[in-house]
Amino acid sequence: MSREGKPNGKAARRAEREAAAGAGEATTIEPAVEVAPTAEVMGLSDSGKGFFERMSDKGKNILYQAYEKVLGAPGALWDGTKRYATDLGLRTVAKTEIGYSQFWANKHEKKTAVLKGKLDVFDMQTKMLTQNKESLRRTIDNLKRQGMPGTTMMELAIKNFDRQIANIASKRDPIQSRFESQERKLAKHINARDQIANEMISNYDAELGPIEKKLEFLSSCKESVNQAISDAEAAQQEQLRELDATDRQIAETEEMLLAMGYSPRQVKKMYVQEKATNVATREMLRTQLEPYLARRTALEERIRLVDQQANPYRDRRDRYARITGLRPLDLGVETRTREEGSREREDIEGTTRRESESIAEYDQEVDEGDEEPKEFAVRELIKDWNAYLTKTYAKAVIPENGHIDQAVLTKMYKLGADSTITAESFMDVVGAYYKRMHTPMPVEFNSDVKAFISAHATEQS
Amino acid sequence: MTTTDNSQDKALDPETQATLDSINARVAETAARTRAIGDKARAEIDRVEAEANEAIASIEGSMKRIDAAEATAGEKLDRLMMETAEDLASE
Repeated sequence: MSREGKPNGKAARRAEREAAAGAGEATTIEPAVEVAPTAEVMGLSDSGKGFFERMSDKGKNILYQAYEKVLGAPGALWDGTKRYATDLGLRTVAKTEIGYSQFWANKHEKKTAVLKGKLDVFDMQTKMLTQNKESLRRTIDNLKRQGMPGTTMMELAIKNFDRQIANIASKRDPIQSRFESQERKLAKHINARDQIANEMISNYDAELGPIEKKLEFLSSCKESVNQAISDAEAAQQEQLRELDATDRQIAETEEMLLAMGYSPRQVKKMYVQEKATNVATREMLRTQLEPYLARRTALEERIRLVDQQANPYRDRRDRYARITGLRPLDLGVETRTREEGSREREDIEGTTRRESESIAEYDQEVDEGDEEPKEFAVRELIKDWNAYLTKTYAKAVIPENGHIDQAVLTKMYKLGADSTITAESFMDVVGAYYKRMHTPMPVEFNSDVKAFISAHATEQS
Repeated sequence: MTTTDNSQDKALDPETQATLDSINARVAETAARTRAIGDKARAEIDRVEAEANEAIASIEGSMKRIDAAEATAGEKLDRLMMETAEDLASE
């Protein structure tokens, strides 16, 4: 406030903005009523109050958000304090709908969608690595078919791919588990919801059939009452004609009696009772159906009311049926993903085995040929290779460390001193050894490999 | 004061008396048939009303049973929603 007692400029502008906003929204929003999420406000049953009281504040607030939707459902009535005044049936069906959409469509499915996004990234990475691995495998096969050396390093690269794939699988697994956990929670919730809805549908089916039949019967009751009244009215018309006829007969007889010399007084006295009876009968005709017409109106009203009351039940049965049709989003994650993951892990284990039994794998590939290549003792092959190098590069074109250190190589590839291996596989191992030891390869390494293998092939034949 | 003087009344001959009796009977018969119309309508409406009341009571019974089932379902849904809300809160 300023010293003059007026609002200062900033406060005044804020007050004006609030007033303007309030004026603009006055017709569209109801007065804000701050209501704490209590069991009473949400209309929870006595059995639910105990559980509610034990809930966390966060849980209560989430629940209250959902119940606000229930309170605002069609048919809900507000008594100014946000307490329930909604029709029980409407409230229940709204809970079934909103309990699904509020909790799962808005919350759970968002979570699963995020997890699905992460899984997709992992899957894409795995796919790329697998493609690269397969491409490299094909290159290795081609090189082998051409008798080219140096594929062992490529094999190591494949193992590297396998490790990366295994790493991704390891990271993917917890996400998959979380995803599946969410899916299980959703399935549990959906099943519980469907069970309740289906129980209600069964109840409705059991009760609505008889209600429909009774309503049809009530309709026939209205017809019966109408028919009875119509018949009575027709009979009344007949009696009115009869009354007219008797009145005419009395008048004619009176005239005849006067002509015959009876005094008017005497003639008048003769038909007093009959005339009075006819008057009473006409009055009876006029009034006798009035109570039945009123009863017909009352009965029709009762039938209309009961039909009106039954209508929502008929509608709600269909709503429950539609609710069970609300299914969760199919995020396209295969249910067998975990199983496939297991298979992938098995592959990774296989890769690990190949790492330690790489030679055996090569043997297997060679086995596919018509002729089984001869195997040589590893130590002999090392000795031969070193001798080949010495002989071929006698002038020390390559450094001494171009020679293979038997102890290092056998340890590196877990080969026993007495292990046997084909010359071709041995050269793959040699290529890998050079790379791993950072040893410069002989200048003509590829030719040397061919020559070395050829020499041993000759020896085999 | 009213005085009655029947001294000049002629005696009714049998034919005239028969006519009087005939009219009297016809009037009485009309009144009786008219009463019967009302009685018949009342009986029919009583019958239909009784059957309709029975049907309405049956419908109201069905609706009460559905309401009871709704109340039970509502309690189950309350519990389901509370459990779910708590579950979401714990995540």
